[in-house]
Amino acid sequence: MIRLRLFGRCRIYHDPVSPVLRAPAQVGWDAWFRSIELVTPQPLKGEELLRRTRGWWTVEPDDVAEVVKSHGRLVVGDQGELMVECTDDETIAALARAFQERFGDQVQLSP
Amino acid sequence: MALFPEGRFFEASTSVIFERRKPDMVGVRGDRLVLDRTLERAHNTYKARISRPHKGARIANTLPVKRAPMEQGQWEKEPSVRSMRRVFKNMETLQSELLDRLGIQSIDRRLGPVRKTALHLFEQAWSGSARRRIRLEEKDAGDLYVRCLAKALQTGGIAVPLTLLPNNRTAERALEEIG
Repeated sequence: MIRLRLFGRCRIYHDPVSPVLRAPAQVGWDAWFRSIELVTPQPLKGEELLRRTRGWWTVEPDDVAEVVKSHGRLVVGDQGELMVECTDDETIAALARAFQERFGDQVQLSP
Repeated sequence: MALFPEGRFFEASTSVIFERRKPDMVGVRGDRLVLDRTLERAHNTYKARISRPHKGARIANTLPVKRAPMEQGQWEKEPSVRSMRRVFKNMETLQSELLDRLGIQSIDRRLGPVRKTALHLFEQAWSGSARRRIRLEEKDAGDLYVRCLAKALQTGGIAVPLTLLPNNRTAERALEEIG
């Protein structure tokens, strides 16, 4: 399996940027009849992290996810990076071509 | 909107608090608060999501400020945004040219650590240049970055002929100074 990071262009500055999950979401609970102290850290899945780019990237994350799904899968790396996982170099090259055809230079793969 | 000493802003009209992320992202002009557009955008996002009263906040002299979120086309009217776009575009173009000439593909796995090192060197050289009285301008950013990238590539065992580097004495000096 080969993993590469997924970069989109910043909507403001147009430079390549990629989201990183620095810390898991802290989910707590409120209830009508009791107080709940429990806070559970919730790591995001690849597609969930990609969705957080809406409004920050120049492209629509759902469109990016659609292209990725036809070649590989979205994952979150060990350091929280948004990554694409493919089986081999050929698939990676095919995915890069698909990005180029659909989004021009707005979405890129990079180590 | 008022500036609080601990670096927080409070908007009386919506009871929203958000933290200043970087000291240089905000300025005060007369009695008006002038926000960097990036911060303003973050503020608008927070405004939509958070409503949390700030205990003990003094709101007597605050001015309610209503701002519409920035639309896509409006960013282009901002001189600072246009300037940064030019800088990043130039850096990207020069980077691609260098990698092309070296025959390195953009998905080459060696580029991950190389980019990290190059960015570290670039930030060191750029911030250190002011202290050393080296005057770097917008046009120098790309040249300096490519020199940093070349140095990082060489550190990673990839030889970069000097003839591939842009001829810019100012950028060269800025990088020399950090060793």
